[in-house]
Amino acid sequence: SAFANIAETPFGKVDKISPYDVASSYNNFYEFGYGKSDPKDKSSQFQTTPWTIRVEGEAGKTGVFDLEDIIKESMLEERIYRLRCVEAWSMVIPWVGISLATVLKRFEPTSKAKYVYFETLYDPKQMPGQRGGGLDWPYREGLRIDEAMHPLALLAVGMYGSILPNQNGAPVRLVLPWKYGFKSIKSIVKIRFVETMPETTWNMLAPNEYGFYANVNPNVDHPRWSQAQERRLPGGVLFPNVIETKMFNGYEEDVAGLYSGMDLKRNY
Amino acid sequence: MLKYWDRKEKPYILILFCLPFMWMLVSLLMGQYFPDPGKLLMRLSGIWASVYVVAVMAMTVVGKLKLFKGINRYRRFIGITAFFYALLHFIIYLVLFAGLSWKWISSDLIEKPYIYVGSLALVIMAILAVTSTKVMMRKLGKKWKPIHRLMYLAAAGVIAHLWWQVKDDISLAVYFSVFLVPLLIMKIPTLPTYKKYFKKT
Repeated sequence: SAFANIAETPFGKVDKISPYDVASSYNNFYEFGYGKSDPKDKSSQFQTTPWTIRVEGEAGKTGVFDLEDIIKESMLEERIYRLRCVEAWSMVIPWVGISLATVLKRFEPTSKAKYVYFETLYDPKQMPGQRGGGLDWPYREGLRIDEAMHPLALLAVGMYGSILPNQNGAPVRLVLPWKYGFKSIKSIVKIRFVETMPETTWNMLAPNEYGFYANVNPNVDHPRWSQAQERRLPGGVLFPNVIETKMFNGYEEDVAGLYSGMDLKRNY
Repeated sequence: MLKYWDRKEKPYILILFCLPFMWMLVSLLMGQYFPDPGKLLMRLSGIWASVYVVAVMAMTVVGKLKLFKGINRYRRFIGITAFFYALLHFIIYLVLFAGLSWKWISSDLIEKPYIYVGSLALVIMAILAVTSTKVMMRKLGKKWKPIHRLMYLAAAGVIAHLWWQVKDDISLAVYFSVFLVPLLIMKIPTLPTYKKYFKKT
């Protein structure tokens, strides 16, 4: 179902948007399986209404909130963002959502809230991928509070003008365009304000391959493959559309200040 | 026909061995692997290369059984097929995955040990494929066998490559290790016999 009256924003007007079919059929969402087409094939029965988010930790307002109370349709805006996967492919997607900072501030985080922790729904009945091993469920992600409050960080409930397809992380997900895709956690059920750096799923599995920050960085390779370039999807039938990967996925001007003085080779 | 093919069933076996390749090619051209064919095809071609590596390695055991004696004459044929799919895997990486970008390929090939072990297996299989003809067998004489036992080293490379590529799902690495590791362990007692080859040559 399409949203009415989504506010336009200047974000990403320069990029050519990937077709909807591509963005909704080629997904990493291991809760529904390892294959790229598993999320679409196996998520059609996934129940996303009603949806509540539990807010915990170092904040003035905690408790269980209905998604509809957290994000009102009248607040929605569209942002066209580049999405860069750690696997070296990328897309351009028009997301619909609201600034994450707007939402987080409403819970009145205290001075002890140095980080924000997010959790995906754990429900093996609905999410067949969670019945197997591999990842340590539920999926966990986290941000430093200043990253979470950055104006680029989006809490998305839709894409291409309509509500999120289940395979894309319905009903609510993060979109952090300067970080590798796995940081943009899907189907969020928990937000916790914490004092110390939280554990995150991919970092727990392979800390030498997936850092906590996971900022897109062409100068820091994944141990097994180069991150200097990427395949912008869709490519041709035979030849991929290989382009240069930009520092912070091209959002350097906006976000570099968050990491000034940090050794990004070590804090990858 | 029989002048070229020493046995009349060989053209049919060739077609059989090429079926996975033809299936992949047709699916690719039909857009089945859209929008990122490189990633999916690299996996599929790698799986088929590993299947044929298992097949040729299993010959040491299966070929000794009376019932299957006949398949020994296809051993080199299967070996060449394994090389073909390994080469295809490499070409798919170069063209469909890395888009022939020298920047991409050079940094992968030079800096990533995970690629070294796969490349080692590919180079060994290339040498074995080139020396697999009857003419080369005659030319190399007693050296032929020790050279072709390098296949065990290639298989070890395949195992390492499979484990090293794991992101999260270890099933492929497990399946192929179940077949290949015992076959390699069985060969350990024969290692001392390699000395004699080096002395004679």
